[in-house]
Amino acid sequence: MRRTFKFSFSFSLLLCSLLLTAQEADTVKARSAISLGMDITGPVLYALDNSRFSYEGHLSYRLNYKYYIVCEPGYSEYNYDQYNYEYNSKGWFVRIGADIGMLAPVASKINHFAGIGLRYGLSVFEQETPFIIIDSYWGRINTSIPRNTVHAHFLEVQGSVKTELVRNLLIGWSVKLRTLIYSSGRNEEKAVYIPGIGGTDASFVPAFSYYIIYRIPIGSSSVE
Amino acid sequence: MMKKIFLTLSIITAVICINSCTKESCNEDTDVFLHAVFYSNDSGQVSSVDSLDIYGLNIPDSVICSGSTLNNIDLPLNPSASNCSFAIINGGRVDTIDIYYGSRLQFVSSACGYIYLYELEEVLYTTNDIIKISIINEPVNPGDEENIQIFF
Repeated sequence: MRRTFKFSFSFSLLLCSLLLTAQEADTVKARSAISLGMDITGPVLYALDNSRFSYEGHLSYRLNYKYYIVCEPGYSEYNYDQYNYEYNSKGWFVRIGADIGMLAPVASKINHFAGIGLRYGLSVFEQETPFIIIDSYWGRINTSIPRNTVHAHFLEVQGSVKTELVRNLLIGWSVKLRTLIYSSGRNEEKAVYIPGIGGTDASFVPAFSYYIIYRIPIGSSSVE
Repeated sequence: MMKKIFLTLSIITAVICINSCTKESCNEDTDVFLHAVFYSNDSGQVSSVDSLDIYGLNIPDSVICSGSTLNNIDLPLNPSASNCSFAIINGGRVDTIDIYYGSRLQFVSSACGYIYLYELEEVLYTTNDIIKISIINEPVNPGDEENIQIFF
């Protein structure tokens, strides 16, 4: 709860700052555009902690200055072990949804983005628990859970900022909250880590992404 | 202006995010015992039993309680078998109880790992001192929920 509050607070602060500066009058029409990019958070975190590996792409289509259709496919591997068990999972995920821009359509901001996004996510992955150790009055039990395939469905809400660094090249970041709505893994097959969501201990899972995006304009822009 | 805000808040959020990735300790209750409560057959009320010795059969030197005065006891079930037996000695009179159950693994949390949960099926017993045993709740989960009643 405390973490959720921290994320909400920082994002609210950001949006307020951006909206207060959006007071120019020269409204322009945004070009439609396709954007291709990747989330570099996964490779960076993998360099710091090789227990999790994640590649995630970003594909979006800008309908106008406010609305974007977004697809984010990815692949993730996760390994975890501690004194009483080891867990491995790997699989694919995709998030589909929309971004809603909150910047005014003025010339100085038309190629930037600050807003919120909503996503539905699907994750299909394999998991296994190669060893489990349970100590009891009757002695030590050694067991395992064989490889099994699980699918999970989740929702994500996010706030993001993307700014054009040079022409058509954007960088940006987003803070996200994800929640699992269904997983086919039950009881002992309940996932420790779901690709595309993260750990399953909490009801709401916070996440952070840092993007590098190349935008391909389609059509022309004009001043309204 | 926008780039300054962007940079500052990027750093703040990254720090928060990295802090949130630290490992947590196991705070959930992972002890799973069959909770047995002793009753007086005369009054039907919870009753303490004096000088009670309890141990698992075929487990040498493994006393669960010795010479104790108790009105309930937590019995550990054997996760690697479908039944286990206990000897209950009350003032020199020996009874054995055989507990039959199903078991399954349950994931608790990444910090705690896995535990075994049980579903009681049947309890067989001798009647040297014990008069009757009743199953009250079949599921054996973490917590203090009463599973069986032992009447003396």
